Amino acid sequence: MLFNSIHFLLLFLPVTLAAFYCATLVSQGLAKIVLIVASIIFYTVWMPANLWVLLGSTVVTYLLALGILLEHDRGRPERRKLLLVIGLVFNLLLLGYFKYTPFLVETANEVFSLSRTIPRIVLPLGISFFTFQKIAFLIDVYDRQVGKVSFLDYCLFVFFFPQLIAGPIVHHREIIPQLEKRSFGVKEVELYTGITLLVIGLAKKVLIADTLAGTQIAGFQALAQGNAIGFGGAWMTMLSATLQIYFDFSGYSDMAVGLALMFGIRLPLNFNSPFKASNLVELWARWHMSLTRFLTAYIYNPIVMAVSRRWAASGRPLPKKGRVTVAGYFAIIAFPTVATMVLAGIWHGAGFQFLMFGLLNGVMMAICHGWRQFVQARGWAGNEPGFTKPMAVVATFIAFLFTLVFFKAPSLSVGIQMVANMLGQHSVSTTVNILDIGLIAILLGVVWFLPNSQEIVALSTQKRPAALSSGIQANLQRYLTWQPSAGWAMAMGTLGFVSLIGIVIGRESPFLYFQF
Amino acid sequence: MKKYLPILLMTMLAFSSGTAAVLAFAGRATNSTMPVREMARRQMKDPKVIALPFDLTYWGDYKLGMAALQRPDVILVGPSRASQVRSDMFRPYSFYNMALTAWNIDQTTEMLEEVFRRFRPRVAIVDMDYFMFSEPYVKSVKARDMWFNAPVRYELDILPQILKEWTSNPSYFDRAFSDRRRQDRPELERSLGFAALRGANGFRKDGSYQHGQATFDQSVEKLKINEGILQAIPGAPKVSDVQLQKLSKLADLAKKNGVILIGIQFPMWQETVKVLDTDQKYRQSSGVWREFQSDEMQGRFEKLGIAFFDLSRDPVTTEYRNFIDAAHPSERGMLVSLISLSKNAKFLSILPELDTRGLENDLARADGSNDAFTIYGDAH
Repeated sequence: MLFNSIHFLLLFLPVTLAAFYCATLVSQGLAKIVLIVASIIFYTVWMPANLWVLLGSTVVTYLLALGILLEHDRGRPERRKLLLVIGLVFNLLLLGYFKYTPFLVETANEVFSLSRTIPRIVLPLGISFFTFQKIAFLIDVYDRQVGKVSFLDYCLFVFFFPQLIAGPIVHHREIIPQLEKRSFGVKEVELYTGITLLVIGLAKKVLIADTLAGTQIAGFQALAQGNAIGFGGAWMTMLSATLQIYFDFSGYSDMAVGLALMFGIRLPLNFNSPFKASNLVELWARWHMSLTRFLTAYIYNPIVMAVSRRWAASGRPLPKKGRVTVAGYFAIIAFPTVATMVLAGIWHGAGFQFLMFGLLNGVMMAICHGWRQFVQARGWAGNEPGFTKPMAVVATFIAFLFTLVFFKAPSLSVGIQMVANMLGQHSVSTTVNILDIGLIAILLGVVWFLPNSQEIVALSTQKRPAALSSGIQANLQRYLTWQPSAGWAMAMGTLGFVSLIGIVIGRESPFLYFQF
Repeated sequence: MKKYLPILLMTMLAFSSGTAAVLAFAGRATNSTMPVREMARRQMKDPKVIALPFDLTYWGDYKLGMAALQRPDVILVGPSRASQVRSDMFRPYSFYNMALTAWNIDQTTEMLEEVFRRFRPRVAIVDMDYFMFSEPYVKSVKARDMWFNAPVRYELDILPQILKEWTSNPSYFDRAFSDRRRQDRPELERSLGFAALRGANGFRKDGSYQHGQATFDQSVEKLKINEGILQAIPGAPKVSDVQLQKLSKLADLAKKNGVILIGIQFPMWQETVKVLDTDQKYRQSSGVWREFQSDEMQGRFEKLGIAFFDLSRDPVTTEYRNFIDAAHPSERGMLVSLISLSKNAKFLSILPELDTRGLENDLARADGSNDAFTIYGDAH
């Protein structure tokens, strides 16, 4: 079921909310059961065939976690480790089978000139997300960072529908303590804040992201058919695509956080004005924040630890006070960064274009780290004039836009074609619609100068970059700070209505991250 | 604070009510929201009317109304493949074409049950294609189950459609409103449903489907896609036992009501038949096609009391004029098929008075005027 479908918004959500509210009056256990059942219905309506993957992997992971705890109590570390390895392999194999088998068979056919039939495997919705959640849970159980969790709470942590299909990738420490609280249930302020976020997110998706979809689809289709689209066409395509991804994912994240709040659960923020970032490292700390956090904790840090141990074991000096040698930088900083981002790229999808997406981001992030290490840390930079910060923001945006070419392209070759067109390699004259340019300019203004949703509803405590916080912006922010007032209620009611009309007129298109 | 949610909801409700009222008015003014039974009554009065309820799940209800008003000797129930059969092809019997109301055996049975509750024709012809015995296909058309007697649902469903239509084709509504102001609206009065007026598509009084000229203009191009039907229709390795059981129930239903049941597999473009017969890539999926044509299967149909006729390899399949696309015979294709059937002793024993000579004359006339698609004329 889509968040942006009439059935979800006008039927599933009100019924679930009412049932949940009534259940909380009886007992918290019943309320949790209501949410679990609703989440299973939410998942099943879309793709009933793959429910067994979600249910089966959830139960197996829980049993393995219990086993790990038991073996710890019995003082048998080898068995504990074995159970962890089984759990990791089981979850990764499941993800690998469903997500990567067709790609691997296709690649093997091409490389070894084989003619094996490419299996048609339906990707279980959200498998990339719930697999990560379960892996994190298992590792933390192994590390004794989490004790025994009731099966009901664990199921709700995995199944909870606002985050089930496309994240945020929640950590058990963020969710399970909330479920164990006596106050778990619907709260007035959170309900209203949640509804407001839901409406804002819906509007971003339906009124902005879906409107931008047409231009970029046409551009990529033309390239896939072997036609050049020229410099102007390529830039319009990629600007539309970039803003579409931005508003689609931002809209989804707002809706997910808002929906969870309506049920009294706070999900971690997932999207915090990433295009206001002045370098790619900062951008990734603001874009798909829960994924970045997972990658840092469970992939990047272990790689850094392993490399650092080897580095130290070989007698070479570890970085001290931020000072690092060139060799140390490559081994301890650049390599883990690139490796992590390549894995992140492949996580997004099975295809060489996703690998390129990850690689480009990794390399550019490594360069950012290098700049910090070798330029800023040595005091060679720091007193730049005021305009350099906005320039850095724009440069970061353009750099990220180039990487998104490979995120959106149906294949690596189409991605390369797009870059070639953007660099003016194909002199094809294209007519660029002035209205499209105007729309993109307005949306870039929104992205760069307006407060984001969590700032509007005062969920975020993160300060916005100082260079962009002018007096006008401060006033705007004050004016745009949400209050549960009649004016805001009418504004949100109007926006909600217009968004619903947008759904009726357009079509219910899935969020881009649903394909992962 | 406490009023936040009520105000938000009331705002949405106020806008929604206003919009619904405007859409309902627009719907009435343009005949778009006309109930299906009313469409049937209007069409009975004026044979030049074409009607098309906005969503195919309501076509069964509309056609049921038309059939009940006409009470024909012969009815035909099936998918779009049978949509070009005209009442004139069954002279001197009265005939009503209920095509585009049933895509699998369950839906066919349901349509016949609804018909038999209202009247009993002498003969019921059902489209019996091989793919109706493929489980994946049957599941793929499940969403087309008909809604009968659901006026409230119809009204609720149609308002968003009017909005969609209005925003994507505003000129239609502009024209409809200006026609209304001028009190000069023959086109509007004779096209019931916005889809009918927009595309000049819709059901004629005899239940056949009137296509816009654009469909015919593209027919030769479409015939180049031999596998077209196969991409759209999932096959299966074998005939489904479940569907055979359902066919048995369908046959029992006809028997119980004293109605003769004829099953026809209508023609398919010869190149498509070739793909089904010989394409190795499709071999696994075409198992159902081969088994359906086996002697054993024909014997089963006979035992069930179904007079089955397979036109998929008839000479009619060799001429492009006989098709709109690979799966859809044209009016000429259907006329040639009827002539062929009328020379079959078994078919003729069921409909002995069928005017074969008249049909041959119609064909000669059509060929003389080089018309393959509208031999018996359009409604308007």
